[in-house]
Amino acid sequence: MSYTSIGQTGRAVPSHLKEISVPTFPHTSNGMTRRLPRGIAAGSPRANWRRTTTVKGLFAGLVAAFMATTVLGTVGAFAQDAKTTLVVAAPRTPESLDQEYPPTEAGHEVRRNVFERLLTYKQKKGDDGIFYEDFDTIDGALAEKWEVSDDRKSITFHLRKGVKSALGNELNADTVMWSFLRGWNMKSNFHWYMTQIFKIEDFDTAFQKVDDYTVKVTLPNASPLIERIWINSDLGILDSVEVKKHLTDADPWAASWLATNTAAFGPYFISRYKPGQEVVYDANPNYFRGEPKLKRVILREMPTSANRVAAVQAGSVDVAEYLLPRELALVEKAPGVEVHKVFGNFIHRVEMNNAKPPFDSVKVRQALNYLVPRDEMLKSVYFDTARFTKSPISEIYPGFTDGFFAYSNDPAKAKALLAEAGFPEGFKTQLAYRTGDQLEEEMAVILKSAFAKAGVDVELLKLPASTLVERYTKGEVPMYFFRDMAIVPDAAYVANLWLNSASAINYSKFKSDEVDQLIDSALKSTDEPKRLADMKRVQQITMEQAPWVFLMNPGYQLATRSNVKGYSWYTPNGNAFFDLSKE
Amino acid sequence: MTVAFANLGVYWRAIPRPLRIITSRLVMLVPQMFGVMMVTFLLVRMLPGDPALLLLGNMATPETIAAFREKLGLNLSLWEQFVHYVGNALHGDLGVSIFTSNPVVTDLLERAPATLELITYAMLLTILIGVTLAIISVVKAGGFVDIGSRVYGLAAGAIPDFWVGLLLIYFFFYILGWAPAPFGRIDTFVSPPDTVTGFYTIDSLIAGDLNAFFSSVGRLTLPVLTLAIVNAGALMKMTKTTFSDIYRSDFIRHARASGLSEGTIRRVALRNSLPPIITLVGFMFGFLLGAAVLVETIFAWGGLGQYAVQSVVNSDYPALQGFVLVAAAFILIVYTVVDILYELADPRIRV
Amino acid sequence: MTRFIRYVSKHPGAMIGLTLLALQIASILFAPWLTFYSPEEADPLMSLQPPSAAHWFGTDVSGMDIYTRIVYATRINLLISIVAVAFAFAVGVPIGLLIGFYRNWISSLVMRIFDFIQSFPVFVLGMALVSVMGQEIWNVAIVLAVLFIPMFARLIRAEVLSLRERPYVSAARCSGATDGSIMFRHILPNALTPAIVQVSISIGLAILLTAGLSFVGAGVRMPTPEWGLMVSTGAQQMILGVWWVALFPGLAIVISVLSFALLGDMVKDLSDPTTRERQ
Repeated sequence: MSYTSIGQTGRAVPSHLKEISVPTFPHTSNGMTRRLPRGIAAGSPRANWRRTTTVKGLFAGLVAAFMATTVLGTVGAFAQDAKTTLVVAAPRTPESLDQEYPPTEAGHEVRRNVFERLLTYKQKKGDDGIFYEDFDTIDGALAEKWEVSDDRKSITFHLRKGVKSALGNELNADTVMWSFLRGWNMKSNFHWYMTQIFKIEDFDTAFQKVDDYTVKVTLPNASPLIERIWINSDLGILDSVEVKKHLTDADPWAASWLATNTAAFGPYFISRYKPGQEVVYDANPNYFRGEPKLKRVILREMPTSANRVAAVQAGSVDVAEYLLPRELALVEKAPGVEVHKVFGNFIHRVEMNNAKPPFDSVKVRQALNYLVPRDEMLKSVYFDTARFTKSPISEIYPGFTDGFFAYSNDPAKAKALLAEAGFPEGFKTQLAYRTGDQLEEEMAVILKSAFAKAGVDVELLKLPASTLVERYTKGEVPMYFFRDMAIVPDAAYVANLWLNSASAINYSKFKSDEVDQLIDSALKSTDEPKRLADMKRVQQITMEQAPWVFLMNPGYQLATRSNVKGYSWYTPNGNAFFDLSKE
Repeated sequence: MTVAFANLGVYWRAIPRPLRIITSRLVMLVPQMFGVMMVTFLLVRMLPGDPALLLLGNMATPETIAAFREKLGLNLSLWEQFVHYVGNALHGDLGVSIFTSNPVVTDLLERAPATLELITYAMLLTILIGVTLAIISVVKAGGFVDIGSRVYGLAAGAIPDFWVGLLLIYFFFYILGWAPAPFGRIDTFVSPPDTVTGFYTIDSLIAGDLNAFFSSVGRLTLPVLTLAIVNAGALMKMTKTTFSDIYRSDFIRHARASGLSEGTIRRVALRNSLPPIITLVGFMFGFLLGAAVLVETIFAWGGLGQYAVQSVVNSDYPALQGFVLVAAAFILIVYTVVDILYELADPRIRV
Repeated sequence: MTRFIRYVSKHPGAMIGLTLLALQIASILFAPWLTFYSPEEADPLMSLQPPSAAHWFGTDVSGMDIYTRIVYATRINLLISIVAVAFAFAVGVPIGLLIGFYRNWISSLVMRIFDFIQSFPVFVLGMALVSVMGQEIWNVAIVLAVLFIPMFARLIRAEVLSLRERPYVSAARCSGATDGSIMFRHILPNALTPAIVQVSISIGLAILLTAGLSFVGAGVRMPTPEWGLMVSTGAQQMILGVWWVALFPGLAIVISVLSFALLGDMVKDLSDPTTRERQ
């Protein structure tokens, strides 16, 4: 019969085995004599037993050896220079080291550590011992002094003298101007800030080198953000002397070199970059604030959060980024591990496509907001580390108000609203979330059950990130999770990103003429009280119009070994290794 | 015409048989590889998701996206893209991974040793367990090992390897604390040894780095055990059938009657049953490559299997294409070699 | 029939297999009556409860009762596998018959195509196909069917190759039977036996593959109750010491596949008259 045990498993089988049944080798007398050993040994039963025991013994010995080496393996090795090396477990290595690459969480961390900007916020220590940015006080970084004109249309930077990059090149106006030029021509982040926020149209009229250490930027209109924008981590200054060595005709702005190399004036430079595996930061001995206490930072990619947990518990890594709330609750109790928690600026919501039915109806959107079991989600998914989203603006930013949040878990009210909107029996729709995002999957399952209470039948779609982005950019998916943060601590800036109908990243297609107009005027006006009042009105409209299903502000948490000190938090959420040290 | 063809037949049979076998098998490889490339290419192109959008992210304007698609060559016709791809592949260029920005060939070469090390040791352990159990249960038929192995053989075919891996992690890492945490081939604090063979175990011995050696061996234990537990069952069943057929065959009975020792007889029987076992081992090598996908994912191994899963999840066309191509090529080559060896060995097969 | 009963009473393996099969059929038919919760209802406050009187197998991360989901998952897993294997059988057998009977270049071509399908890394091919087609239950079944067709075709072909040389086939041809009637009336009934045995094993294999695909996220989608998907949601928790979410669905897989393996052995023994002597 031709079905051998392999055939039974049905896996692919080499051709000859498929046709011929298990063969027995031809036992001709020729074959026999060729295979018989010289001499005939008499075998006693005891000898046979010894033979099998040897095999058994060998087997047992091997197992024992494996166990021994395993145990020895766990004991592990000693780290070189443990006190000055930091090992970080991250979910993802950065996609590119170039500032002009679209902002991602991993990219923000690179920018925080490798680049230095013209201005910064003064650092202050919070009651929890964590260092924050003082949004009310701006300080000079690469710019020692700066002046803003009275009409708030121009700003002049006086660069700090004697600042050197890791390669020894000095900071001067030329390198600043070239950084601006590159950013302008790459038509990416720098360009976006300059054209969308500052409304600059022409490079040469806007950017001027005044002398070797002075640079002036002039805007066509007054902007309330004329100083604050320069603090953003995407606007670091490049070491142009180094970068210019790598320009080619095909690549006049060194895009491919800067994607995998760094040349700047920040506290670190990247000495090894292996995407998908690790990034190694080495200290810049010439950093103007002094050499960092941690001379080397090794960032390892470990996509599974549970692995990061195990690593930080075992002490194999010093820092574990982006752990799940459940895991944080667990790891807090472990000896030797500390969890730092800040309010942060993330807002996690389910955005609805406001342009397509049934989500073009306000009542439907409000109804869904009344179906969310926020208390249960806060407990079971977030372990009390988050807060309800009560406004589209982050709680820690000036201009925030939670006075307009009126939603509770009220299925009866939801059903009534749906009936008013013409859906007494509910409707069918889809909710998309990202592959690999456990939190979103947990919430999706909970929301599915919750929405079902009013007859809204939600099909869950788990999509790879690229597909999801494509779908919501094109408006092809009715509901999707979206977690984002705005770097600039300014309500109008945030509203402009997500609520302005002209914004490219307003994927929910929320449109309110009054909101648009209020945002536009707030971006131009310098009358602070009026701006605040306008933004309050924007928040009121948004909460009533409910373009999103408001969920949680998850905050930002970092698990570190207890001997890691100096934790700080910055709005882009990337960890600043310069502030850290190990005891 | 037929006369000419008949003459060809004569010429063909004039070539020594071993050469005939090898040539005909190698010739069949070419269209198969071409077919593999074509199907892979078509399949991967149909994956959902626009890689340009993934790479450029939210802030990208439609113009930047279009320009990027141009750069990735996604706007050409399917046939043109394919021809381009084949041309490059023949030069050893499998494209650039959208996700890691490395050439796919580099990515694959970097990760191949991890998978090969895992598969090799898994194979060794599988053979050790499978063949040993089979021999013992045939020689001592009806004994404890025989009955136990029958149960094991039955169960092993039913156990999902990913489940076994998880259970092993739970028992040996979480409960007993013997095994190291399941992420990667070596401890985070230990630098991998310099690459000679790509096998951390061998390279660390060559470099004399005992820390690295113990660390990598420790990490290998659980994944290798996972693969071996599940696959030794199949090998054992197959070996048992072959070996028992031979062990109970006439010529062995004759040898025993002639007074040969049991040990010698067992050795003889084993050598006679080797050919199908070798075939099976060869085939299992290819099969383990697929099984490694799941195990690598659980243990964050950083090998080809994990790379494949990542590329499907990220719609990383070039990477997925590269992996499937290499894996299919590997399996085809293994089968071809095994076929050749078998046809060489068995004079009954006509070529 | 008596032969069947006599066989079963002598072979504990077959008895176990049949019992487990009955258990699974009961799970499929009587699921709502055998369980106390709804399979897709999330209760966030009850997440990750260990096994207790209220939740026999504990709850998973969303608070869904694991025992309930395992019982309901029998439907999904078995449905996919049986449909896939049935489809592969229905397509593979005729193809095998044809390529075994007609030894021409078409047959060789088809064999090469099969060689080629089977040389792909099965798993990655399955993943890619399901990603392309979308994560619906039917797509998973279709993908599995495509992967199994070559196996059935080969089995039938091997049998046909040996059977077509038998004297009774030549006799039928002499009496003027057409190719078609020879194939279907004379050869097929005798060739079917190994394929039928294979069906059982294949169902087991299909269950493993479905579970594996769902485990890496290329199978059915959340929150469908499916054993492999349940193991994958439990995988993350395993390293943190939560063992029940992944253990029980895995056991369900083992039991199910085992039952089909035992049934396959039983069918094999019953259909092969020679094995009756070898007790």
